[in-house]
Order: sequence, then structure tokens, then C-alpha cells
Amino acid sequence: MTGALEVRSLSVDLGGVPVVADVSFSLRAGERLGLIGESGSGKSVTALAIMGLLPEGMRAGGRVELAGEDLVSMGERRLSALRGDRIAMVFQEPLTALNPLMRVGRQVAEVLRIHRGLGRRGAAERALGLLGRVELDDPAGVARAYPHELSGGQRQRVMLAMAVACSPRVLVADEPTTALDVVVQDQVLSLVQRLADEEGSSLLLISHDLAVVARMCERVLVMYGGRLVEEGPTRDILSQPHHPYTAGLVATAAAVSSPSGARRPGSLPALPGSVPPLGRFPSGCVFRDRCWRADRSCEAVPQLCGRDHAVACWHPVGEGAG
Amino acid sequence: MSGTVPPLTRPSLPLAPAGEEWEEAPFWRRWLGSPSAVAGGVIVGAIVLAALVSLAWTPYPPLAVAPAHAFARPGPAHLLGTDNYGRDVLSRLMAGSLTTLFAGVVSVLIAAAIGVPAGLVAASRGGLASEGIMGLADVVYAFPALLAAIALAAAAGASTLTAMVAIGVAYMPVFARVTRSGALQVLSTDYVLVARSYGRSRAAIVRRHVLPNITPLLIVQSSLLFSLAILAEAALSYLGLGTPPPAPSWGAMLQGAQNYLFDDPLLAVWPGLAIALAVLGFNLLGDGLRDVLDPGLRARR
Amino acid sequence: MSAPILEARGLAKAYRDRRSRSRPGSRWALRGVDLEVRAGETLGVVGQSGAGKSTLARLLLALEEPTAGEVLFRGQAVSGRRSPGLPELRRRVQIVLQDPMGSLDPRMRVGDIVAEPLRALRIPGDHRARVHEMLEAVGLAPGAARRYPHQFSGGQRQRIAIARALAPRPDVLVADEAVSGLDVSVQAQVLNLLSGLIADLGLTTVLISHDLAVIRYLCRRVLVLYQGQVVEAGSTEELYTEPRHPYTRRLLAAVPEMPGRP
Repeated sequence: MTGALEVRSLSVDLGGVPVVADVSFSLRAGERLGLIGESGSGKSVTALAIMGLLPEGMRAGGRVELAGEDLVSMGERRLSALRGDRIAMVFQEPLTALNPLMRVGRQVAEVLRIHRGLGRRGAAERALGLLGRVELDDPAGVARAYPHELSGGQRQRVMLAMAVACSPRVLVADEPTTALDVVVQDQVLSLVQRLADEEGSSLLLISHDLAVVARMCERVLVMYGGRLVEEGPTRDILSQPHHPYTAGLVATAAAVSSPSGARRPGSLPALPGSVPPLGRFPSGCVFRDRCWRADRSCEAVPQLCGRDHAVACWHPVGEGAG
Repeated sequence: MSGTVPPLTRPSLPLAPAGEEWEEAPFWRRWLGSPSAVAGGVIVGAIVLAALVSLAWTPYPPLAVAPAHAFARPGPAHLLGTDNYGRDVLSRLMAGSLTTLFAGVVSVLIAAAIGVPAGLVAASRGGLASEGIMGLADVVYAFPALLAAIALAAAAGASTLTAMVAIGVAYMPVFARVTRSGALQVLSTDYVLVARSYGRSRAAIVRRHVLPNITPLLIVQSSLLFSLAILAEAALSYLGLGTPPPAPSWGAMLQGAQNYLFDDPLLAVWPGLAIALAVLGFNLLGDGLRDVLDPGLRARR
Repeated sequence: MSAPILEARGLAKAYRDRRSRSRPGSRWALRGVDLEVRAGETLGVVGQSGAGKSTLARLLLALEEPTAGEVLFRGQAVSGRRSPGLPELRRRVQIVLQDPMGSLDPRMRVGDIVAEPLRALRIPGDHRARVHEMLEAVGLAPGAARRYPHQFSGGQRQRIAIARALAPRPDVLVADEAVSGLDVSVQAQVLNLLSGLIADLGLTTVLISHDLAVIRYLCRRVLVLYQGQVVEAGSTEELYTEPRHPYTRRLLAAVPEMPGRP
């Protein structure tokens, strides 16, 4: 079954060093898929590779199919036509993602002028409508403002307005609320949910925050060391993680946010060690050097297996002898 | 039950694995990694070598006049030929390199000795002191260095020393400005904030945190200014405001060769080439040092 | 009831606002904050960006002068013209900041970084031994002393910052977003370390953070900061189970929750 986005064996390397390796997943139409990973997991690079926005020096391989067309091998011309129109991205830090020298209204209008061929007046009107749609209090005032004159929450709403301007099939959001306050984060997440529903777009939400993904997404991908290590319905993954890495993340997140009263010092469950820098991941299973379940068999790279809930591990948690 | 929740971490963590990634790339390795540093280093090294060697030996005494052999073509006897007085060009170039380097070093030292403290004071005091010092620096910067050199030469007599003082003072504002902006950056960091919180005095912070962190910046700046100083000294000597003849100075050699451009154009080419090469060399070295000293690149594989 | 070790009374701070062209003048980062910490307490200050958290941290450490109000350490003023309490504050109150990259001098070796407070405060004794002791206490090998900050990961650098703060044996530790910006697992490791050290050393702690979960984990009492003012104060449990101020309620409602395990 072809979904809105089909990613097959996507890989990205930086001068020979693998940053993302063999990532495959499907994003169904209207689905909300989360991609979880810590820094150094390759999640943002994956998003950039899908959008064809990799920085100098990084090269992508594999296939990314959007409505049947492969984005990886596509020329820049066709890619530019699709970006912003059929597939759009929202970035983490709106201050750097918006042009500081251009009024915000004009930036939103520009998307419409490029992809819908609207004239100045028409695009400006539509832009105003979009700004209202993203729940900005004073759309006209905001449209006249420059990015630095707006708050973080307002900027992020502007980015969303630009992203949904052309009703994209796929919306990629890379840590869209990480830089925002908790209260604003809540509002923006609700907004993203509403917009995705209204447009019927599929959503790929990338975050390091398990709770955010839990709230927004039906399915989850877990990424570590540039590889997918687990995939499945959010509820399953969070309640019964199979991969030791996922289990560690879930245990930590649950403990930190749990309301339990008395706390013994030093009692938070935490994975040992830290994410290795690029190029220093172990051969075989990428998680091998931090995994308490690792043994000789982990010298071979495990593949994702399982149908609905898949895991790439030789000793998944909760199965077989511990 | 084991296996569902990961075991708790012991607080003790092994350090990141000791390997190339985390070890300091040795100095020479970083040097080799920067083409500018290598090229600049080679050129400057050659000049320094020539200067040092000239202290002990030159093919011919640089001041020895031999009218019989004037305007000799480059050949086995005189590798670069002779000038209008029959003096060996190569020997004069070598001796001249000493003057050049000397001029560069002294000028930069003077500029730094005034400019760096000025910049530090301006950065750490701020307010009126900063405005005052930077304003003064601007005035000096705006004043044509050449005019100052002429005035100084008129007052104290033309010599390499007056040239160097003039150049040093003229370039002081550059050091002041660079130092101030570098110092301001360091002073706004978190580690300086923390240093203040455990009671470090302003002076101690400048000494322990600001200076070590702006040193690379100053070294690079010195190197760039060196090349400007060389050019300036050559220009001043050319104008007769620097090293007085017959002492060999590249600028003076250039000036002397001017009159004989049609007889022996090569006489102008050698000192000109030497000046250009020196300027190029120091510029490349400055750029290269910027690469080598950047702590961000230290951990490169 | 013993006297508070660190106190703020009516603390206010205004900055000259350069941002908006239409409204020149002052921007009040803090408007009258009262705060009290008793010896051995862990106090949390929770607030979102713009609430005035960093300003509060700086004022508590006398790194800036308040526009109004005062800060007292052991009953003595540390702000203003005559600040008799200042030398003691410098000695007994230390700080850990958010950004492990920026809070360590890149040109100094780790051993020197950790020893700096000992030197600055002229604390007698064997500095080298103390540095080694501290590095071990935060879970770093003694060989770390010879290396430079950029050779360590973010979590390790934060440990170095903690070692530095605790080297002079302070009575009070102020942590300003000390675990923000760290990955989940590393954050938990550092929290474990901090909670262990706080318990072992009987440290008085003021933890400033935007992250309610972190505050809840480490602190017994909490102040909620909103637009430069304390809108609610109380024990952590009270606040989280029965918040009174509408802003506190909004804050708590907005935190995305991990679904409970079956």
C-alpha cells in the first residue's frame, strides 16, 4: 500500500561517515507519525534528507517517494516546486528560519506567489487569512511586523501558516515546540493537530520529548545512531518497549514526570553513558556499547522485524530469557 | 524481572574513549592540515633563514662597491646580478631581509604594546573610559601615517627606527579595536560570570581568562600587521624616510633601481618580488594561524 | 524556625529596553520578589522565559545590582553600596549555569577550571587533591584534569561545572537551568548526581528551571515566577496536586504527560 510518503533504505553520509543508515518507513495518508531520538540520533538529518535540504557535504541515498516521485534523485527544479506545495517543513527555531529582513506577511505571501502564482494583492489577502487561521490575535499587525518583533510562539505560528499555505500532503515538523514555553507549546501542538486534520495532511513529528510524541502521534519511530531501532503504535511502544534503548528512554521519562512523592536521591533510572559522537558508534548494533543485554551476537547489525510493532534487536526486552 | 527496566547508572562514568577523536591533534598535525599555514610558514621560514644567515655570511659584503662589475647579469658569480654600484643584489636582499624583519617586529611590538592594554582597559571599564580610548584610537587611525612618518623623520632624522615608531603608532588603533572586541566577547561569556561569582577581581579575570582567549586573535592580527609593516617600511625607505642609504633595505633598493629602469629592469624586480613575497607569506601565515589556533578544530581527526 | 540563610526582600530589577522603538524606557525583569531559603532546603523557582529567572539568579549571587530591594546572606546585605555580606557570599554560595559549552573556559585545563575558585578565594590546603576528590565525586576519572573542555560531552562538562561549584565547599548551590539542554538520559544522570551530592553534603539548593518535572524531582518547596513576580509559593506536592493561582494551573495543565503504564 502506498502511503503519502514512502521512505526506503534512506541513508545519509558525511564524507564517508554514516549519519543515517538504512531508514525505511511509510507515512500513510492522514497519519501522524512521530520520530523520536536524542541529539546525535540523525533524526533532523533524516527530515532534511526527505526535504532535499541537506547541507554541503552530506549526500543521501535510497528512495523517498512522495506521490510516486522519488525525492532523493530528483533535480532541484522539481524539488523546489514540490517543497512548500506538496511537502512542507516547520523548523525548530523560527527566528533563524524566517528572513529577518522581510516583513512576516510578505514571507507568507511569497509561498503563495511561488506555488499558486498569485499576484501581490491576492497573495497578501490569502496570507492574512492564513495568519488568522493559525490563531494569531492581530493578523494585520503581525503581517506588518518583522520576525524579531514577534514572540517565539507567534513566530512558530507564522511558520505554520507558511507550511500549510498550499495544503501540503505531508507536513514535517522538526522539534516545532522545543524552543517554546510549556504553555505556548501546548497551544501550538493543538494548532498543529487541528491544521493537519483540516488539511488532511500527514504529519511527521520529530522530537526528543516522549510526552509530546505521545500526545500527538499514533505511531512512533525510534531512532538511535542513525538507525531505526523500533517502530510501532505509540501506546504499545510506550507501555511495552521492546528495544533496550526505548525501554531506557521510557523508564527515564516516566520516572521524571511521575507524581510519586518520596524520592530517594540518585534513584532515577537512566541509560548509562551517552550518545557517542558522529563516527564513533560501534560496529554491528549501534546501541551495543551502552546496552546491558549485549553479547557476541550483537556484532551483527540487527534488522527491524515484527509487523505492527517492529524492533531491531537481538535481545529485545520482554522476550526470551533476560 | 531483569531486562524490562535498565539497571540504574552508577554515578561513575568512563571518560569518552581515548582515541583520535578526543585526543588533541598535535600542533604539527594541525599545521599540516592548513595549506595557508604550510605555504605561509615556508615563505616566512625562508625569509627568516635568509636573515639569520646574513648575520654570519653573505655571498659578498652587501656594502662592497665594485664599479667594474656594475649591472652584471644574473650568473654563477652573482646569482641575482649586481646593481649600479656593482654590489651583489643577492647579498643586499639577504641583508635587507634582516632590516625588513626587524622593522616588522618592532612596529608590531610598539603597536601591540600600546594598543592591547588600551583595548583591555576600554573593554573592562566600559562607559566613558571606553568611549574615550576608542575615540582617541579613531583619531590616530584617521591621521595619515605617512604624514606622521614625515614629521617624525623631519624631527628626528630619517632612520629605520623612526619609520618603525611611526608605523607602530599608526597601527596601534587596529590592535586596540581587535583587543577590545575580543575582550568584550570573552567578558560576556558564562565562564567569566562564574569567575565573578567566586570572587575573581576584574584584573584577575583579564589576566586569567581574557588574555589567553584573545591571544590567538592577537597572533593572527600581528601576523597580518607584520605584512603591512613590511610594506610600510619599504614605502618609507623608498621615499627616503626610512633606512638611509647605503644600508640595504628593500624599499631603498627599489628606489635606487628606479633610475636605472631602462638599463637594468631586473634591479627593480628583485626587491619588488621580495617585498611581495614577504607580504604574501605573512598574510598566508596569519590565515593559517587562524586555522591552527582555533580550538574548534583541535579535535579533528 | 531558624533564620534563612539566603534571602531576597522586595527584589526588583529594571533594564533599559532597547528592543521596541515605540516604547522606550525600562523593562522590569523583576517586580518585587521575596524569597527565603533555610539551611538544608531545596527551593525550586519555576518560570517560563521572560519570567525573570536568570535575573533572579544573578541578583542572588550579587552579580548585578537590584534596582530596588536587597539580598541578604546570613542576615547581611550583599547588594548596594556597603555590602558587608559580600565576601561571605562569594565564598559560600556557588552557581551552576545552563550551558556547559559556555560556562567552562575553553583555554583552561579541567583541573585548573575546578581549582579556580580555590585560588580566587585563597582557600588553603592541597588544591590538587581537592580537585581530584571533586572529579571523582562527580564521576569523572582523575585523568580528566589534564584535558580540555572540548574533549568532553555536554553531560560531562556539566559534571565539571558541578565539581567546580562544589570545590570550595559552599553552603548554598544555585543552579540556573543546570540540566536544560541535556538529552533525556544524560539529564537523568546529572539529576541523580545532583540529588546524591545535595543529600551527602547537606547542601542548601536553589534550583531555577522552566522544567516542572525537574523541579518536582529535586525540590521540597517551589516558587512560581510569572512576569517578574512570585504568583504562588508552597511545598512541591501542594503545588502540583492543588495549585491555587490560575497561572500555576495553566502551567501544570500544559505539561504533556507520559501515558501511564498499564
